[in-house]
Amino acid sequence: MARIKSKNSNEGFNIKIIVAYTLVFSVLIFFMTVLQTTCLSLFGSTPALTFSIVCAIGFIFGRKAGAISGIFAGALMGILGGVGASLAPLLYTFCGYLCGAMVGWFLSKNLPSFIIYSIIAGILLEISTVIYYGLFSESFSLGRIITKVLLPEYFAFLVCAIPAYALTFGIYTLFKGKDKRKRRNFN
Amino acid sequence: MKFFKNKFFIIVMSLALFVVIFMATLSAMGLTGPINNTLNVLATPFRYAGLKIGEAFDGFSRYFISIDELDKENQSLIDEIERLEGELADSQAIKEENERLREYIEFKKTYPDLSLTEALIIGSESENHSTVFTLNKGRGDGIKVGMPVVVSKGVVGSVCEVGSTWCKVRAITEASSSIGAYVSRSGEIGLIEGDISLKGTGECILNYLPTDADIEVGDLIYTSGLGSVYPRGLLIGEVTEIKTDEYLRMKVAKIRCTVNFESLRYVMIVTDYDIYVEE
Repeated sequence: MARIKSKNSNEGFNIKIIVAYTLVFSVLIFFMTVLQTTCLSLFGSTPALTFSIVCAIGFIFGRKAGAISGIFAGALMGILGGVGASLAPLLYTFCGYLCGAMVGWFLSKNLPSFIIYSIIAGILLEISTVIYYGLFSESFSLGRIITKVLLPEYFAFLVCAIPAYALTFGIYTLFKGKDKRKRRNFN
Repeated sequence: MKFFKNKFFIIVMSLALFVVIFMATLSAMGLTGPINNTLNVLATPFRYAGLKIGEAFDGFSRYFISIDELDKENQSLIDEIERLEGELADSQAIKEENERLREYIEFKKTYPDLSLTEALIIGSESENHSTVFTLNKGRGDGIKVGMPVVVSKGVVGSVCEVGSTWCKVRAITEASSSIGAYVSRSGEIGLIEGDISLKGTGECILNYLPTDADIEVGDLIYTSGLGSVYPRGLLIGEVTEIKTDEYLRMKVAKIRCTVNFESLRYVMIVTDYDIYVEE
């Protein structure tokens, strides 16, 4: 079986654990997408729950996990969100990958680092929102979009990021200790 | 640059771009139906759970974002309440005026030969249970000393002093006041006078009744018109007590006036009437 190089050789998972993680996070991402596309409102904006989970997955499991979960989550958002042309797959994939990469380069794997990363990821999310409004909105008023859309969305995302990290880390901790044989790196 | 040159990154971003284009194409061609339908069916039970969670989120966040709106709404409601209270006070005043005018019309129907001028009580003597009132009509309005003052319920008194824009009215319960009166049931004639001992009680005395006068408790007393001060037939009050004064050889009756002097606001001054001539 192919082995994936990793900085930290202790970080590894066997196939069963990978399958378990995949199933659990698939359901979690699906549930968060459904929740986000239902009548959910925080500070007058829909919180980016799925995006928070993707960032948390990338942060904890690495760039590849972040990227793959980003594609899956972006596709789900595009279908369940009801929007025909959606940039969500691109944005989620990029941010999930970026999160894992930043952990490898700059940040430690802890909550303050995750918060710093979330602040950056939130800005990327808002840039994509501005692009979306610029492309599809008939009347584009930056001031109005900032106050009515971007700021509420940004703060809603930041509020959801910490619980998403806690949830993802909880699932990670739950499965990690169960099987120590045939570890595979997933970074 | 190393970040973007990573093979995995290029592959995965290409895949994401393909997904975007694929979904946009399917959507433009209207072929997303089956996928949408399947996923939405799977999502239905999660949506119910999501709705409950959404309601909880909504309540939590609404406290923060709508506090300004609540404050504005609160202020506008306060303004609305003040406006409505003002309207209520106005409508109350209109209602009182309406009742007063209705009484005035009824009074005019009962006494069509009286000419009346409405006046507002603007002052009274500083003592409690005052029996001298100041009205807002005077010489300029044709008021003269001696003119009777009435309300729909009965006689108030007569004008005792007149100024250019004011006049003073002495109530019938005042000790120095006297009115010719008669018992409505029997026609017995007497003289209504105020009594210092009855000051503040709303009562006066009917004097000079013969000892065999036909008068009972409950009889109504009206102005007799004798003496040409008051027109005949205005209600004064009701007999509440009868005594016989053996020394003066006459009956004396205590009369409770029908007018409540403490609650008076508007009165009518009788400016002209037909003088009663006894046959």
